[in-house]
Amino acid sequence: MKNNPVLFIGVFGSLALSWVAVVWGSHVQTDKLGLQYDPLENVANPAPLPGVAARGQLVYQDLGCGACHTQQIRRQTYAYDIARGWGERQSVARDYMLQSRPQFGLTRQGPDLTNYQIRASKDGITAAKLHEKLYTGSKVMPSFAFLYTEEPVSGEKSNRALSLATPRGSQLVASERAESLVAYLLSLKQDYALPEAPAAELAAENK
Amino acid sequence: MLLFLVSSLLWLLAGGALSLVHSAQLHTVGFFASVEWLTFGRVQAAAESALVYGWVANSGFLACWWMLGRLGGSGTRGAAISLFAAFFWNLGVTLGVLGILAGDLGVYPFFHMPAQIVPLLGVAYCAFALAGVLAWKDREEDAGFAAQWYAVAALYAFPWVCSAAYVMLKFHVLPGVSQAVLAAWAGDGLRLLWIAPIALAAAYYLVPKITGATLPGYSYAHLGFWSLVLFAPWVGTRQLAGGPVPVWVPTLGIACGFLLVVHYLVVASNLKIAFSRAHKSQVLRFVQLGIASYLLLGLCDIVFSLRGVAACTQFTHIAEARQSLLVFGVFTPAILGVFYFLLPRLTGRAWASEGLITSHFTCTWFGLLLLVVGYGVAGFEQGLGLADPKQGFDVIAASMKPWLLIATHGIGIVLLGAVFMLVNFVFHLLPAAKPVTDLSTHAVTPAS
Repeated sequence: MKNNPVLFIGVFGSLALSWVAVVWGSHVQTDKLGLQYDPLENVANPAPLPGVAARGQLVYQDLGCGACHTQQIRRQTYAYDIARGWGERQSVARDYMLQSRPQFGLTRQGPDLTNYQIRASKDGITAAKLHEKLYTGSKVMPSFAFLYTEEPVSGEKSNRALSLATPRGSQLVASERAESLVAYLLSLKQDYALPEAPAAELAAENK
Repeated sequence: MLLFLVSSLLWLLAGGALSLVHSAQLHTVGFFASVEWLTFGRVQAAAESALVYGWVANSGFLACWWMLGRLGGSGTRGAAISLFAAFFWNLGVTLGVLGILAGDLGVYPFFHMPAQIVPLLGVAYCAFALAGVLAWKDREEDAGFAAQWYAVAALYAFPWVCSAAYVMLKFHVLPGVSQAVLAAWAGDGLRLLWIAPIALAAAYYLVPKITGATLPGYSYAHLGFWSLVLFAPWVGTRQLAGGPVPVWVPTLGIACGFLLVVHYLVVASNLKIAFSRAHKSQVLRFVQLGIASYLLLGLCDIVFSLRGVAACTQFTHIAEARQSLLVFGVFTPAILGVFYFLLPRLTGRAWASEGLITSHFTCTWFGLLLLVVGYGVAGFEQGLGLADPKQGFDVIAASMKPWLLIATHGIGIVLLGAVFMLVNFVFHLLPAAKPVTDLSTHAVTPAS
């Protein structure tokens, strides 16, 4: 360790080599994946996010939702994700290939949201109900009331108004950000079949 | 230099205060929920950024710069450059943390700084590093001490890892899962090749100075250093086990994690004399805490990367416990040791109050214990709760609540300790402070 260059090249070389092998290597591998055409439905999967939902993804990120909610399902033989009913199959690289801001999430203080759309429609959670949920919060989720404004009713109630009880003559109106966030949450699903990730039941049968 | 010391301490307080809010929000969900700027996800990102870019960067740079100057026998140079750097760095971090609170945050830990701020931080860092490298280039003795290697490696690794991460996460954005792989690689790069080496440099510098002994097995210190440099960049992706990435990616990380055992063994055998000698040194006690936490963290990193364990502990507060152990257990005590050692030599006066130093040390270890135990047990409760599909999130939250309360108290106590240091520092600067008569009360063999 007598000379500067050895140290400098050592640190740089080690970082560069590992970056090329791990980051670039896996990128080259996942970048080759293409869309999966589904002839029955005549669609290619995964589909890009619709415009409003893509805006909602920005709101999701700027509120830091990923601090408590993940969007990745681990395989059934490995962890509890599928047993909790969060999805039918594990998430794979192809599911995220079109996203420039994938929200993998950090912890699970709340449920995984990978397939929230499917769960919501099963449980009868409409956009209006989801707005109310975001406004009031719950025992485990803070309220996001700041996304809504209390306005006086002039004439008809706004079609963005929540049905929650408000003082007479006023209404709670969802902001554009709240609208996009809800549109995003209600677009989340990974329910299409991919060859590398068959549904859990299918995978069990194949065994 | 005092500027760095003050700004880093203020960042420790600011980051600690944000962590306190974050920690309180974990068990009391309504805490500040009505304020958009203090919503949960943003506070978490801001607290982490303030601690990493404010406290770790400022104090770590000061420590490296000073140690390199001392060990090289050249004194510190480039004071004007580093003044410039300190100003713009702190301006950048302040704007960045405000930007995060305003909603411009990233998705991955360590890399939340808004894109607009990154170039400013980059320029300021180059000026930082220049001063450090000058001190290293000017060294009179060529042999180089282990403390120097670690300090220089940290100064070199930080810009490479950070620029790779920020360019590919914020400017030329990688699509899909490649982002997660990059963020995992770079996140552990910062933990193991920037934050940890600064603490190790401090330990390798202070332990022989205070005990007055040569380190046992010092000829193996090379091996310890190079095993860290060669293996650490490969281990980051172990945290992606089970995720939507090619399976070889996490597997490679887990396997390389075991190779790091060599590094931990060498560090343990080199620095064990810090524990075996009964020195009544305040500084040494801080360093001991740092070394013990480092070895514990190394063990935890390996254990929690095992697939069977990770399936349960992934996505839980265990991550929070490990982050606390790194920042408040490994880095902070080691650097506080350097600060307590450095200031009397810088100003020629003793610290105003020995009692406050003792109280600070008590707060540091006790707060750390509460933090790590609190978050750690809460994390296990959470992992076991999640693994049982019948348990709802309100039940899991209720079972975690007492432990999270403990963690909140822990961060409060750590913060209180930092206040003690700041008070001591202010008294030190007052003209009434006593001149240093006997440096050995602060634990030294001849000042270098």
